Amino acid sequence: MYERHAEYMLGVCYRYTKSMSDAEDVLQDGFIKVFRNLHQYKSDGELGAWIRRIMVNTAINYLKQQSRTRADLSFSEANLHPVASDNPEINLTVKELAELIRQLPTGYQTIFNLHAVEGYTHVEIGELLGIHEGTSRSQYARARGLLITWIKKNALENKTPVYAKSRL
Amino acid sequence: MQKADFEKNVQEKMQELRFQPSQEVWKHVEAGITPQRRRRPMVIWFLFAGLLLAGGSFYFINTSSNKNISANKHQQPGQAIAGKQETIIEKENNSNGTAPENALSSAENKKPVGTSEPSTIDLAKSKRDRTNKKQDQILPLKPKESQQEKVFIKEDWVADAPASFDQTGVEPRTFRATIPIEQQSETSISNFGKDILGANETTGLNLSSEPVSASTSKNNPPVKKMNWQFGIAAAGGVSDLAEQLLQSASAANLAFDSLQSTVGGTVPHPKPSEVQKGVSFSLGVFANKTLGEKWKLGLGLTYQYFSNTIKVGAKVDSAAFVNQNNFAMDRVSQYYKSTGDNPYHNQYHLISLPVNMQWQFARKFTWENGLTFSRMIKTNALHYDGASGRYYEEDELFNKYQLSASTAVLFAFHKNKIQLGPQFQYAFTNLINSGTGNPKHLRSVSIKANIELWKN
Repeated sequence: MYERHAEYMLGVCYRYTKSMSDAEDVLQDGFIKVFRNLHQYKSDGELGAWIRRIMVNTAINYLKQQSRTRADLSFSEANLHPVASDNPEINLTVKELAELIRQLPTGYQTIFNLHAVEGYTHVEIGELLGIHEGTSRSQYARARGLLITWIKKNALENKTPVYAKSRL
Repeated sequence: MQKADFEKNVQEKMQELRFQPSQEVWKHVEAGITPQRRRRPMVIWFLFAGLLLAGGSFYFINTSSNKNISANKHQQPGQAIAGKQETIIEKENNSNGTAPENALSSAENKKPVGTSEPSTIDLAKSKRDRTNKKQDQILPLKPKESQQEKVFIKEDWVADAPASFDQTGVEPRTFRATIPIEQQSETSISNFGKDILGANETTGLNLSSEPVSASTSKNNPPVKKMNWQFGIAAAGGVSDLAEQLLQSASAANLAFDSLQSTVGGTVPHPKPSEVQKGVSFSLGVFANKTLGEKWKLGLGLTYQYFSNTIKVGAKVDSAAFVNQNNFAMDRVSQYYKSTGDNPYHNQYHLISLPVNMQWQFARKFTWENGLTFSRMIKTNALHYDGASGRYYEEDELFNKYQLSASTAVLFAFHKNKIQLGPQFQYAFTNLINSGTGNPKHLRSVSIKANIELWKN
C-alpha cells in the first residue's frame, strides 16, 4: 500500500509545504496515521481518497504546529493582493505550477490547495482552519489573483517568478 | 465558467504531481507503526516471562537453601560434617576478613571416618530451645555409659564444641560434644546438619574455635515459618469435548475413522451424534505455599468428573464386531444402534494432581494458572464405529493419563479464606489413543472455589 500511494501522496504533501523535507515529514506522519487507523477504513470508499484526506489533515496540523509557519498561516484581510477574474491558459509543467503554488504565502497556499485542488467548500475550509467562511473566500480570491499574475508574468518572461520578490 | 476551468486545469495538473520519497520515510513509518503492532504481545510475553522468572527464582532459592541438607543425606557422616565446616568457615573468612588460624582446616575436616585423629568442631548454642533440644539429643554433653564400649569409635570422630554466640555481649559459652559414630544414623546426621544449618542461618553460628560475635540476639524476630495453607477445592460447571482449544468436537468419540474402517461394500451409516455439554465438577484438597507477597504455589489431590451427552439408538445385548478393517476387528458383547434419540451420558472419572501458581494481581483478585496430571479411573463413554453404525464401550481406546492446563480468576472474601471465580480447563492429551480420527480433548468451564481451612 505504501509503495502504491507514496509517490502521489508526497505530491499532495509537497503542495502544502515549503520544502521537500517538510513534505516528507508530513508524508511520514500521515502514513503512520494511515496504518494505525487502517481498521477504520470502510471498503465502500476509495482507499486513495481516504489516504489523501488523512494526508491533507496531517499537513494542516503540521502547518499549525510549526511556529514559523503559524505566523505565515494568517488569514488577515490586510493582505490586499489583487483579485484576478480572468482565466489564463496554464502553459506550465506540473512541477512548475506546483512551485508557483508553493511560493504563495502559506495562508493563500493552504486555502488555494484546499479549494482549487482538493475541492473543499469554503464552509469546510472555514471549519478546518478555524476561520470565517468569508475570510476563506476572500483569501482564495487573492491567492488565485496572485497566482494568475505569476502565471502571466511567467508566460511573458518565460520563467518562474521569485517568491521573495513577489511577496508583499 | 472560466473560473471553474482554471480550477479544473489546476486540479488536473496537480493530480499528476508525484515525487519519489526517500528511503528514510518508509523506515520512519515502519518504526512508527511497529511498536503498536507488538505492544500487546509484548505485554503478554512480559507477564509470561514474569511468571516463569518468579517461579524459577523461588524454586532456586528454596532449592539452594536446602541443598546442603540434601547433600548431607547422601554423604558419609564425616564428610557431611567436614563439608559443612568448610562452608561455615568460608563464610567466617569472608565476613571477618581474617584467616581463622584456630579454625579447622579443610584437610583435617576431610579425614575419613576410621582415622585415629579426632575432629573437632565449634558449635554455637542456638537460642531457640527447639534447636538446643535437637543438639542435645545428637550431641550429648556427657556420653552415656552404654556408649563407653565404643570409646575408640568416639575418638575416630569427636566433635569438640567450643561455642560462641555472644552478639548481646553475653560471655560466650563453650561446650564439648562427643558424637559416637556408630549411633549416627543417616537421619541423625541429617538432623545434625539441619541443626547446624538452621543455627547458622538464624543465630550466626560460628564454627571457629575463637569466640566470635554472632549476628543475632534473643530479641531478633523468630525464624519465618513455612507459610502453608490447607483447604478444600471444589468446582462445578459444564464440560464437553473439543477438537482444539476453542473448537468444539462435532461428533461423538471416534475410535476409528469410518472411511478407513469401512470394508468394501459396507452400507454407509449415519454420522455420529453431536456432542452436547454435560455436567462437570471436581472436589479435592489443596496445600498452598506462600512464595512471596503476591505469589502462592499450590499442590492438590482432586477427584474430577466430566460428562457430555450424545444421542444413540436402542441398546442391543448381543455380540458384534466393530472396527473392522483389513487387518483387525474388535468384538463387543453389547452395543447401541446409531439411529435414535436416546440421550447417553458419557462420563469420565479422574483422579488428578493439580499444580497451580497463584498471582494476586489486585487486592482481592488472584489469577491462578496450573497444570493437572490426571489418571482416568473409570469411564462409560461410547465410541462410534462408522462402518457398522454402532456405539460401543471400549475402555482400552482411551488415554488413561491426561495432562491439562487450567486458568482461573478468583475473588477472595471472608478474610481471604474463600476464593471464588470462573475457571477454564483444557486437556492437552488426546482422549482417544487410537491415533485415527479427529482428536478429542476434555474441556470444561466452571466456577471454582478454594476454601482455606487452616494454615501454619
